[in-house]
Amino acid sequence: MVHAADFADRWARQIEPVLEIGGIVICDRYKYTAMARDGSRDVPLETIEATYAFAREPDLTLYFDVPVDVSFDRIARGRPKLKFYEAGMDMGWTTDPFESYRIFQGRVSDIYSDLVKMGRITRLDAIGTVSEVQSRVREVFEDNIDLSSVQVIDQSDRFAQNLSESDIDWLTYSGGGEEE
Amino acid sequence: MTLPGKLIVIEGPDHVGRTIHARLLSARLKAHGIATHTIGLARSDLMGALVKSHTADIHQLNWRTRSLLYATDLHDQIKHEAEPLLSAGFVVIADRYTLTPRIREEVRGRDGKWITSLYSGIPEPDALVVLHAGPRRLLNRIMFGERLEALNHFEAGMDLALSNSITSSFLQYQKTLRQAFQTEGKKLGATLIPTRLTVEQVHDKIWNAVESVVEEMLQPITDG
Repeated sequence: MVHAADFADRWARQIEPVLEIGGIVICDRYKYTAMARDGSRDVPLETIEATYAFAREPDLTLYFDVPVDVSFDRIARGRPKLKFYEAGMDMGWTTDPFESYRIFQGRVSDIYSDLVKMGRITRLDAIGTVSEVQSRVREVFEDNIDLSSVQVIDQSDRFAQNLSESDIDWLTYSGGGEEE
Repeated sequence: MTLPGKLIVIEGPDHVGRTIHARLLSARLKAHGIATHTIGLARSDLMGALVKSHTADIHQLNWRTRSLLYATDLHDQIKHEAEPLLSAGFVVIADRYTLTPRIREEVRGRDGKWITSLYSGIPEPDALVVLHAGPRRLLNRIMFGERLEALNHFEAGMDLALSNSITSSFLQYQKTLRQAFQTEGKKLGATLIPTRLTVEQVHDKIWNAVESVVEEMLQPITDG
């Protein structure tokens, strides 16, 4: 509920307005994270869907998929200890944080796989270097998103307010030209 | 009472470009050898800091109380800044004057005549410019300004219950405000200028609107 409250605030005050003006919003996690994490903790998916019903389906959702061993290695390399909730220790499956992490991530992975099967998210192989993964991201993006339909307001308009009075030399100023 | 200085008023909604154009106008006038001073809402010594630091609280107040606070703020600036400087021959630029505090309340159904009465006896503008822009353009400026902003409830007019969506409410509210600024501006003989144009083009239009007012004060620009 607290995560949903945070997300609802972002949705209303940052995501929806930017979509309205033809912006592209990139969300690092969306409602599917809640479905995977909370669903793994046995919260019914219908309950999660209902809670996040205000958030529309994205135009494209990429699910960065790596085997549990790889994600475990990536986390373990950066820090010696797993975080309590990250490892799913709150569920009491086992007292071993590393074993708990594997169980938890296995369940998370199952939910994401179901979402992939439903066609709601797109699986992306996230094994490899950053640039390798990025090139895969670009490929999927280009295949799925048509930017020509986006109605963008000219970018210069956004930054006009940053113009300083010293940016104009009044001695040589000859006007801003005719309207287009 | 005719004062030797000139009062130029620039009105319009948030993010329309008033402040930058007030600055540019001031800079150009100074380049022509004219002394300028800028006043605006919530800038008085008496009330400015209080109004700015309690904006959210002020929006919760009874509308008459709020209108009186804004009027006090403007009167303080007129008494201590605008009138002495106009007497001394300055060009005073008002980055908002009486139109904004009145229109904000009028679109909420409140008594505009009573608000106007709070400002009786203050100097009449020698030139009035109303800047306007479409709601989507204003939204674009908010969301993609210097930093990523979030829409706030007041500038989206959420108190009017136009929509449950803050975005939709913003678009409807700003449309209403724009119409009110244009209608009331026309009644007062304002020059209405859309700010969808480039900064320089908008500045040119403002300059055209005020040049005749300051014509006799202009000195040639030199590179000294």
